[in-house]
Amino acid sequence: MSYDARTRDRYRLAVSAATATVAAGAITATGWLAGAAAQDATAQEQAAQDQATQGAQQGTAAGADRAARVARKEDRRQRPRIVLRERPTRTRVTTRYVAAAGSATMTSPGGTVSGSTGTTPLSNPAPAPAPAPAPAPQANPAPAPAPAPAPPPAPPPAPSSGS
Amino acid sequence: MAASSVTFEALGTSVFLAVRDPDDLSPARGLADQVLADVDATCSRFRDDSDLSRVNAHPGRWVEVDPLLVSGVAVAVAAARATGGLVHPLLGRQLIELGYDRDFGALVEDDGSTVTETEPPDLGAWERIEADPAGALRIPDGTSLDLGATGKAWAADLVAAACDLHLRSSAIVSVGGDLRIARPDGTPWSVAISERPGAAADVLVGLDRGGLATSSTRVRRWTRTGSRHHHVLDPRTGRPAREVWRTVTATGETCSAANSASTASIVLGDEAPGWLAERGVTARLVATDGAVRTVGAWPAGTAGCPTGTTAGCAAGGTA
Repeated sequence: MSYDARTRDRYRLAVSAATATVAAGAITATGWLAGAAAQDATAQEQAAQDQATQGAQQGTAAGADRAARVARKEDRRQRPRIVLRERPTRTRVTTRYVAAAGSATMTSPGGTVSGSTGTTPLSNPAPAPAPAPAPAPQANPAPAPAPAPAPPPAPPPAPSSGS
Repeated sequence: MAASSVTFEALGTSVFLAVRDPDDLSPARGLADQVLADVDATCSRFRDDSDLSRVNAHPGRWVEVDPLLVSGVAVAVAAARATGGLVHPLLGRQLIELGYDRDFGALVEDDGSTVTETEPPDLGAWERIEADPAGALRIPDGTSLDLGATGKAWAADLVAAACDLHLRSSAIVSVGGDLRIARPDGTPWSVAISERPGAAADVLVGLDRGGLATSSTRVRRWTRTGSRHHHVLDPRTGRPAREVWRTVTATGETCSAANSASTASIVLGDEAPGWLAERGVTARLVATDGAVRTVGAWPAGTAGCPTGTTAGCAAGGTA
C-alpha cells in the first residue's frame, strides 16, 4: 500500500479522534470518581452525625463524645483561615515542655515557705561537723587522708521582685 | 571553682538561674536560652515579627500561629478563668492607649501628650478567644492580646520543665522575679523578696518546691498627661489598679498559678486577703503605707519590712 497525502490525512484524523476520545473518557472518569468520593464522604459524615445524634439522645457518654467529635470536625471544616505563610514553620523545641510546665490554675497549694536566718542563704550546704579531737601521736603515724574537696559556693538567693 | 548560678537578660528583664550541681549550670543555661528565645519570638507584644503581633493585627479573624503561642494563650485564659477575669489577657489596647506601647526600657517619659480616653474592656472577652492547638488563634474584634501578666511566669515554668527533663540535680529559675523550682530535692532554695529588681531584700525565705511570684505597682511606672501609671491594669476599668497593696508575693504549684494569685491580689485591693485565704494561697502583701500582712502558711517572723520603712511595718496581721 502506498503512503500518500490522503493516507496521511486519514491517519492524522484517526489519531486525533482517538486522542479526543481518550481525553474525554479520562475527564469523565475523573469527575465520576471525585463525585463518588464526595458522596461517600458526605454519606459517612451523615452516618457519623446520625450515630452521634442517636448516641446523644440515648444519653450515653460514648454518644456524647462522638457528637462532640463530629461537632469539632464540622467546626474545623467551616473555619475560615487567614494563613500568613511568612511564618517560619519549624517546630520549636520549647513546645515539648508545655505539658510539663503546668497551668495557671490554683488547684493546690505550692511549696512550703520557711524562714531564713539572717542573710545566710538556705541553699548553702550544711556546715561541716566540727573535727574530732586529734588522736594521741603514734610512733609511725599513717599518712593523713587527702582533704575532701571544698563544696561549691552556694548561689545567692533567687530574686523575687516586681518587674 | 565552678559557679552554680548565673544572671542574664532576656524578655526585657533579668533572669536568674541556679543549680545544685555546678556541672548542670551550662546545660541549664542552654535550655533557658532556647526556651526564652522561643517565647520572645512567639509571644512578644513588642516585636513586629512575633506571632502575637500578627494575631493583634487581625482581630476577629483566624491567624495561623506557632503552637507555642497557642499554649501561652491557654495559660493566660486559665489565669483569667481562675481569677474571674481579674488577670485578663486582652488588655493590650488599654496598655497602648495608656502609653505603654513599646518595651519598657525604651519607654520615654512624656508629660504633655494627649491620650485617648480608655474604654473599659469587655470583661468576658477572654472567653471568646478561640484556639486551635495545631496552631491558629482568633481574638474578638476590637481586642488585643497582651501576655505581660502571665508571660514571664509561664516562661519560668517552661525553663523549669526543661530542667526537670534534662538536668541531674535541682535548679531554680527566676524570670523577672517570677520563679520556679525544678527537680525539687527537699532542700529549700533561698529566695530574696524585694519590691524592685536589684533592691536589697526585704525578707529572705526558703521555698522547697513549686513557684513563687511577686507583683508590684512600684515598677514599670510611667507618666502620661501628668498622671503616673503602673502596669497592673484593672480590667473592670481599663485603668491601672487602685493601689491598696503595692507589692504581693504568692506561692503556687506552678509559677503561673502563683503569678495569677499575686496579680489578682493587686487588682482586688481590700478583698485580696480573704480571696487568697479562700483559695489556700500562701502570700505576703505590702500595703501602700508599708504595712505587711501575711496569708495562709507564710511563716511567722518572716513578714519582713519593705526597704525604707520603719520597724513595726508588719503590724498588718495574718489572714
